[in-house]
Amino acid sequence: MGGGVNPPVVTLVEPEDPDIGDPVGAERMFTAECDQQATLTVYLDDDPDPVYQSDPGVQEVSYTFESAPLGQHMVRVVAANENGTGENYWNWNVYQYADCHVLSGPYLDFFIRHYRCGSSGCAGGSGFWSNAVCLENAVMRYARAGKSTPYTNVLAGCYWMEKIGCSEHCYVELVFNLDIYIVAVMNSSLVPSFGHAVCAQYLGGEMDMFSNWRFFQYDNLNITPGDWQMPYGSEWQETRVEIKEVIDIPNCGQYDGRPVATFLIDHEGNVR
Amino acid sequence: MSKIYVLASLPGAGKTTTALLLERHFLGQDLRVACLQQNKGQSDVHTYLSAGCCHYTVPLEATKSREAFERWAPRGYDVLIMEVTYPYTPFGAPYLIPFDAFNEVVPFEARADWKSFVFTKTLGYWKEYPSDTNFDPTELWDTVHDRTVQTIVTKIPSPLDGPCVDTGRVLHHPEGFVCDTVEPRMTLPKSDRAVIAVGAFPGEYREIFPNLTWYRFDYASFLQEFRTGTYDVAIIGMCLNERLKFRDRPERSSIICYQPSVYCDLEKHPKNLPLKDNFGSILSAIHEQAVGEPIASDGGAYSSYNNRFWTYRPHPEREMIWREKNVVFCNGWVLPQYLIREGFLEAA
Repeated sequence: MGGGVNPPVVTLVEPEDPDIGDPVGAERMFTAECDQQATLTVYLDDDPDPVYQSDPGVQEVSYTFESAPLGQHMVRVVAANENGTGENYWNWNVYQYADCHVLSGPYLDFFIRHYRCGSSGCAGGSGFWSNAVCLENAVMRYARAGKSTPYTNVLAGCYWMEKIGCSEHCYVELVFNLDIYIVAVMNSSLVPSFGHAVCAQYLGGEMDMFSNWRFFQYDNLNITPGDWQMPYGSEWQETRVEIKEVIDIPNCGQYDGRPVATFLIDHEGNVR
Repeated sequence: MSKIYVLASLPGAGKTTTALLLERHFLGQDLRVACLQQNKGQSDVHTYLSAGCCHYTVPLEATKSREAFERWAPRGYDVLIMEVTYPYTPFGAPYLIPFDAFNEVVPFEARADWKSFVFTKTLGYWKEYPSDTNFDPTELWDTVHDRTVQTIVTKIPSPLDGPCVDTGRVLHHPEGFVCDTVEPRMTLPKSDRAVIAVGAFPGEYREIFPNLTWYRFDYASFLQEFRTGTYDVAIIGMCLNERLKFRDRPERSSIICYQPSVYCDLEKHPKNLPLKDNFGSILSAIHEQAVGEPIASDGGAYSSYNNRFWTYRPHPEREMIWREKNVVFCNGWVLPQYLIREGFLEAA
C-alpha cells in the first residue's frame, strides 16, 4: 500500500507555445517531454488511432507532421505508465494565405512550387511535398488543359500546391481536352546552359509552322522568342524548340513524348 | 447498531492490507461493510476506491466524543472497519479513545519490542523538526493503551494461532479481532446528477452521486471527457504530482477541485515547522475546544489544522474553500458534507 499516486505529467517543449499556426502544407515538428518514464503516444484530433507511439520507458517524444488539412487541429501527447496517464496538447491552426491564385479556365498562369503523390481519385495528397520545377509545371498544365484522360489513373493521384499556405489541388480536378503538347527548349552554348520545359497549344494548320503554336508556362501565356523562357540562340548554337506529343505519363513529374515539330531560333531571333 | 473494528499502527505496517482482507472476509459472510479512515488527505484512499470499497473519511471533529463519532459514522452497514495511522500522535490517538477496544497492527519484524519500534520510528520522523518542547514520542502510549488491545501480526512468514496476515497476504483467525459497537447516524443525500472524477477524492461522493464515473489516475481519458463530455459535476481529485496543470476549464458544469494547483500557483505550507506543543496538550484541545477553535500554537507544526474544519490546510494563504465562477476549490481534504453544509455543493 502507499500514500498516494504520482501520475505522469507531459510538458510541451517545442513549440513551447500551446497555440500555434502554420500555413497549409508546412511541416511542423512537435516535441514533448514527460516528468517520468512512460509510453508516449501522439494523437491528431479525435482520431483514436495514434500517429505515433514510443517504446515504454521514454521521457521525450518528437513527431513531425508533413502537414495537416486546412483548419483547427489538436496535437495531443499522452503519457502512460503504472502510475496512470497524463496529457498535454497543442492547438494547431493550419491556415491558407490570402494571396493564392484562384483557378479559372484551362490555364494555370502562375508558378507552382510544390507537388506530391497521394490517394487516387483526387481524394487527397499524402507525404512530404517536393519542389516542382519546369518539367512538373508542364505536366500539371498538360494534365489540366490537354487531352490527359488516358493518363487519369496516374494523374488523379497527383497534387500540386502553389506555395506553402495555399490549398492543395489535384492535377485533374478539371480537364479541358485542348490540343496541348509539351515542349523542350534547349541551348547548351548559353551560359549557363539552358534547358527548359514549357507547354504549347496547337492552333491548327501546318504543325511545322511556328505561328501555329502558342507557347505558355508559369505566368506567361504567350511565350515568344527572346523571352527568358525561350531565349535567342548564340552565335555558336541555335536554341532548339522541340514540340512533343505526350504518349505516356509514368508519374506526377515525368512524361514520355514523341516529337511532332522542331524549330530552331538563331542569335537574331529568326525561327526556322 | 454496527460493529466497528479499529485497526491502528504506523505507516507501512500493513493496516490497509489487513483492512481490505477483513472487509473481504465479512463480505463473504453477506454482511454490509464500510471502510473508514481518519482524515489524512489522499493517503491510501485510492487503494480503497480501486478495491470498490464503500469508503468514508472520519473528520477530527468526530473524535470529540463517542456521540460525535456516531454522527459521522455511516448508517446502513453491519460492519465498519476503521484504519488509524500514527495512533500515538494527537491526530491518531483521538480516533481510538472513543472505543473500548482496538486492533494494533504490528509487522513481524517489530513484534519483539513494539513500543521501542514506535518510539524510534516516531522520533525519526520528528528529528528534522526543531522542537520547543521536551518531546516524548510515546507520551500518549498509556492513554491509547488504556483499553483492550489485540495485536495483529502482519507480514508473518507462517501463521500464528492468533489473528495475523502472512506474507502471502492471507488473513488468519479473523475471529480474533476485537471490536466495539456504535450506533451510526450519518445519512448522506442522494443525487442523480452525472459526475466524472479523477484522482483521489472523498469516497462519500460515490454514495451521494451513484452516477459517478471515476477515471482513477487516467488523467488523459478524464480530460477528454472533461473537455467535451456531458456531465453535471466534475471532481478533480488529488494526486502527488504537483507539476500537474490543467489548461481546460469548461464553464457549463460544476467543478470541484481538490488540487487547486492545477489552475493556480499557490504556496505550500512550509515544511518542518517547529513542534511547539506537546502531544497531550493538542489532544486536550481537541476534546475541550469547540470545533474550529485553534488546537495548536500558531507557527507550529500542527497550526495548519487551525481552521473551521480542523482539516489540514496545505495552502495557508488561501481559505479552506473558495469559488471562482463554476469552480469550487478545496484547500485540503474538505468533505462533501462540509461543502453541502456551506452551500458550495448541491446534492439534490
